[in-house]
Amino acid sequence: MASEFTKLLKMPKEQLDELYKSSSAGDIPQWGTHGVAIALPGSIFARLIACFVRLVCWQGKIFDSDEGALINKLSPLGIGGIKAKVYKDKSWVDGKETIVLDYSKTSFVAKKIRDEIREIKPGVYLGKVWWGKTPLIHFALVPESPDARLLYRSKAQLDELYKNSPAGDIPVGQTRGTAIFLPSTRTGRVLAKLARWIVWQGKIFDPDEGTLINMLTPLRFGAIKAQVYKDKSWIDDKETIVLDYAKTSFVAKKIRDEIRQVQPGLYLGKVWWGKKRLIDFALVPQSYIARTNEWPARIVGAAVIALLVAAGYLACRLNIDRPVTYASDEDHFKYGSTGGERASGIPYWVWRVLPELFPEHLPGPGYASLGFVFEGDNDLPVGVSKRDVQGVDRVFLNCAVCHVGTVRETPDSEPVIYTGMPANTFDLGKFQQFVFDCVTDEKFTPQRILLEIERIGGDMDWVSELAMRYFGIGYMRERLLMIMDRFTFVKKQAEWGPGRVDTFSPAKVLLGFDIMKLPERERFGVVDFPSIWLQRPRQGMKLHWDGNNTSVEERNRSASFGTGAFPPTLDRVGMKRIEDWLLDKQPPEYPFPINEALAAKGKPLYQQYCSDCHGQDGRNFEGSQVGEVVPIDKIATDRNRLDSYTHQLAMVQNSIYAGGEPGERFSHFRKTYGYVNMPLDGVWLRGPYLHNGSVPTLRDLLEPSANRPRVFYRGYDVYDQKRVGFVSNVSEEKGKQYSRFDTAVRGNGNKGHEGPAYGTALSPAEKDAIVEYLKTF
Amino acid sequence: MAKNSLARAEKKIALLAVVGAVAYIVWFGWYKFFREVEQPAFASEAERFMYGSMGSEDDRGLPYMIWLALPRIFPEYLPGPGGYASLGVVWEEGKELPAGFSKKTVGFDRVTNNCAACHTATYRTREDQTPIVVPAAPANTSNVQEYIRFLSDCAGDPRFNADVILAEIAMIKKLSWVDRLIYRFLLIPLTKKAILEQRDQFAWMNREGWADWGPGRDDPMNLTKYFMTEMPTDDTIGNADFPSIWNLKLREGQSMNWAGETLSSRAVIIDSALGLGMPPTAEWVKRMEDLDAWLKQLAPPKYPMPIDEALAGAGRVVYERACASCHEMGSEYVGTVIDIAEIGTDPERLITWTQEAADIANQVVKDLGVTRKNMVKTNGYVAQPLDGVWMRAPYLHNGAVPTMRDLLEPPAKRTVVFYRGYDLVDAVNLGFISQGAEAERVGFRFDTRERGNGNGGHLYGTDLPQQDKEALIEYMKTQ
Repeated sequence: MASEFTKLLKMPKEQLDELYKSSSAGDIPQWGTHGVAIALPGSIFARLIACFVRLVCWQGKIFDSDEGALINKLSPLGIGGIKAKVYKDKSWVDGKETIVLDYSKTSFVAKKIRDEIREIKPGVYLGKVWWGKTPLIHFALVPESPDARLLYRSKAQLDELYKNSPAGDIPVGQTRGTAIFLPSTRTGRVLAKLARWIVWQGKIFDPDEGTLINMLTPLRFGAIKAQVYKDKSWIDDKETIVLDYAKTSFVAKKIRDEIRQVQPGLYLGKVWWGKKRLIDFALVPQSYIARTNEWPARIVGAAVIALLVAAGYLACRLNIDRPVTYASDEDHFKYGSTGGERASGIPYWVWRVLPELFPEHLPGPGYASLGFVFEGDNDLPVGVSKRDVQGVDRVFLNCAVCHVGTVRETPDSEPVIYTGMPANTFDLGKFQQFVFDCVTDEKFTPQRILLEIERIGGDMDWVSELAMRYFGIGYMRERLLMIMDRFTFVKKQAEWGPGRVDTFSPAKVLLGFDIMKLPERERFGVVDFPSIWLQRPRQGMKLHWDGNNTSVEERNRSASFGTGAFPPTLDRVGMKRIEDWLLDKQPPEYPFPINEALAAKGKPLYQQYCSDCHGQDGRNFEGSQVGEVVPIDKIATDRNRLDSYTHQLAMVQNSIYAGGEPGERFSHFRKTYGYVNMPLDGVWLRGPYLHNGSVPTLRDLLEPSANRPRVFYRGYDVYDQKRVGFVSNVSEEKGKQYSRFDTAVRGNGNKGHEGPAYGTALSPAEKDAIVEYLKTF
Repeated sequence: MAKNSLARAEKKIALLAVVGAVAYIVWFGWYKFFREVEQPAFASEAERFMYGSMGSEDDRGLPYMIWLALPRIFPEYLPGPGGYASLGVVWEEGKELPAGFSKKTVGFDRVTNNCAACHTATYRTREDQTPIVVPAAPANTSNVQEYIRFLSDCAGDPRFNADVILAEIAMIKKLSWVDRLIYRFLLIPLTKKAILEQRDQFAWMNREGWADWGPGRDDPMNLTKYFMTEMPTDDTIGNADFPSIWNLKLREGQSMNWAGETLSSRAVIIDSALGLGMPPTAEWVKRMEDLDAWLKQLAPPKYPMPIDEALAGAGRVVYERACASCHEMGSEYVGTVIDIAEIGTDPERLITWTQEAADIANQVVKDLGVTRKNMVKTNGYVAQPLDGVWMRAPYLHNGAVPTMRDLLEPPAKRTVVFYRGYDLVDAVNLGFISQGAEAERVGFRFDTRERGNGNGGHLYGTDLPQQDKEALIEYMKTQ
């Protein structure tokens, strides 16, 4: 058989076609056949392809003449599937008779396939395959070995065959055995294979002793002896070869077999238990067995398939990168991803259990106690986005966490959420500390965390769970410890408090600056979050509190580092959507009553004192000094933020986003020597005021610094309609502590932006009027 | 017949497939390792001077991604926080690389150095000012030695490995799978090996007790000796200031290098460029000519602060009497070597160069097929023209005297210890501020008692009356 295939594989295509044409259709094959695919015949690749196909996908066809159909033996295990009708018809090659294998009505996947076969010599079929009308490859079929073909016969046919056969000669030496259960069924064929694998391999006949011994298990232990002699058959009383266990075996003593030689090299046997007929079996003497052992190859094939499937699954899974998406731009801003989860993401379920497992590291119940804003029944707060990375849902911060805040009219009102305003309640410093406290806690172990996830009903698939248990949680801990080490400088700063951040120290950390080796004056750059609406009119203005950058996009990419988005992980599509939306996002109107008469009085005062630097009104940013830097000596506000940004940092920032997407590299950062004049759109929501948030209300800002509050409280969102800003004298409400802000602390100075030119010398009535007018911005 | 033709066709196809595969592999190798991409056009000759490639990518090119990652992984090997900026390099606003660093794609992006690394500087006239960049000025803040040491220390650290470096690059750029393999198995190990080899070649400068170069200096003739002539290490030390290289037309016919070892500006440029690892191709010769032509006509920077014209006028008289014979163009001694017995400045730099070294160097250059005037051995230092002298502090060949005022003091009264590398102009003493908290924080402590750092000699003008010195200093600002 193998030699037939080899010959065909060596023939060039023309010769195969010639051979096919010169052959007649022959008989339709019956029962199992071995098959070989013949692609690129005659070339060195033919045998390789044939082997590969045989190992992993197709071994041959099983014909059923009763049904006029066939099925293919597929997969390394030779599982039957893909049916075809079999009939004789005219060949597409030469119009003469041929055997057609027609898949069109019987198979969905192969419905465009049509095969033809002809018997090129007895028992050897050459076939051609078409896909639609396109000829594809050749293939060949030869019958399976005779013992295997017995499996396709019915019990009656087997009995018939037995009865019509002579006893034959007693076999000599080793024989291969095939147990025939449930004859002619697919189950029977599978059972036969299993029996061969696991239980019984055959018999060894010893002609000198007149006995045999069975070969059991794949290791072919010799056991269970029988006497072998010729005697009368229990079936038809004619001569047969009897295998008699009665005197030679204890376990099998009730067993008696008979065998007859049904053709040269093939014995058909019957088994009795006592007087009861059991199964049939076949024996093939060793000398008739072609020396091909296919099983090692098939096992390798199966292993290859299993590996491919596993690798394919992992490859698909490792490529998963799916942000949760939102239809509305505003929701995208609040909950959409900037890509930070890709490298910095906290697994969603870990995020969920941290407050459960480490309540002692939080100031109050849950994430809300850190000032996160929760909307409705959402499981994640505003400013936390979710993305499926590599099959694990991960969360991280986005822009909104620092740029969405809340306002209450009275302590009993429901908070109103405003997007784009400085996050007045969110304490980024405390959140950072909470995460650090968690990962350094001895409870931060895979066991504890996974147990807790299970307790709160977390659903993770087993791959994720394994990955988390043996890698994810340890990795997260290690990474955060590394970051924590680099953020040691934060501990030297006074608590930031809600609504504030040290803007540029993280950039220094990223670039490998050892912050603690920097001069002290460069280490205290803590400032207020700004509002981020109406970016279009700000394009080209000097941005950031000190005006160190003139590119809105570059400023945004710089800020997005805070959301964990690095050059390789930034979600450029998600970011662009936020960016575009912010260009024209309007600041919210002042929601409380405005004294129009008073505001009207304030307008000319504003124009006289403020508009050159701060624009004509809340939408018109014209003014000779708007967006320009006022030298520090002149503005005289706290200089720590200014000093924290150095020429040296600006130099090295030039290599941020370098080497990646063209046009993204930072090139607009400049050292400045003062603070920038901001437009005042939506200024009512931007308190506390000045870059460091050291003056709680607009009315306070119009006082000379000596009269401004020295100590006040931040993070409280009840609005102060009189002084314009947030109520700043509440240290505690319903058990929640608010953040004490001491202007004597380094970086918190509330001096500057004062003197007659800044309106601090105006009369109280005039100041009230300006403040009233600013409500309209 | 059919069979034959078929077999032939098949053989052809197989052959084509093999040829195609080989061609692809060759193309891929060329693309990833040798494909040369012209640098983007430069806006000016000055830009080209500061950022243009000298063509030494094959020999000295550091993979850009590794170059970017190193200061983030090994900040402890830098003189202070601030990445490469902590080396005092000149880095213009918005530019991708510091002056003196060139990025060019040869297969992959590679970073090399050019002339500007040692010959571009900054100054400020007040602390609250963004530094002003002056091409061709002595790089008074750049610490070249620390850059070499930084790379050596990185390569010698066990963390200089593919895992650590690729993890850092992953925060900078998304590399493809193939590129990650290339970095892991080729670029990172080869870079490490090359830097370690270079570290061994520089071992002589790290010897115990050898004075550091500090910012604005190197050991020029020993570099020439050890790298060009490959002579064995000796115990000489010749640390010297980077010179200004503007206005080279003045120097035609004069002796170049501090001790006059080279006889034309072209020859100095050629030797320096060879030292940067440039192969002497035709393109290279053209570049050398362009560079020479540009530097010849480049004007020195004007003094950026007010000058008391009356005082300067009085200073001119003093200058003509006390200085002009050596420093005025057209004078008897300008551009000539003044014997060491006469000038009396620190002799170490002079001693580093020998006739033997000159002979070998001349032969090496000749063997490379490059024509330039031969180097010689001298016995003194060159009296130089003083164009842009305000930007050339500290003074003397070894930069041992921080200011013009100090130079006009007798050696015993000159500053013993001062700080170099701070770029704030000292309008009172003429030079750069070299004392005080900020100068100490930013600068390099220069001790004139160390070998080669001697501040003696050049006694001219030290005996002038005080008002003449004041006037002379003011006049020097006009140069």
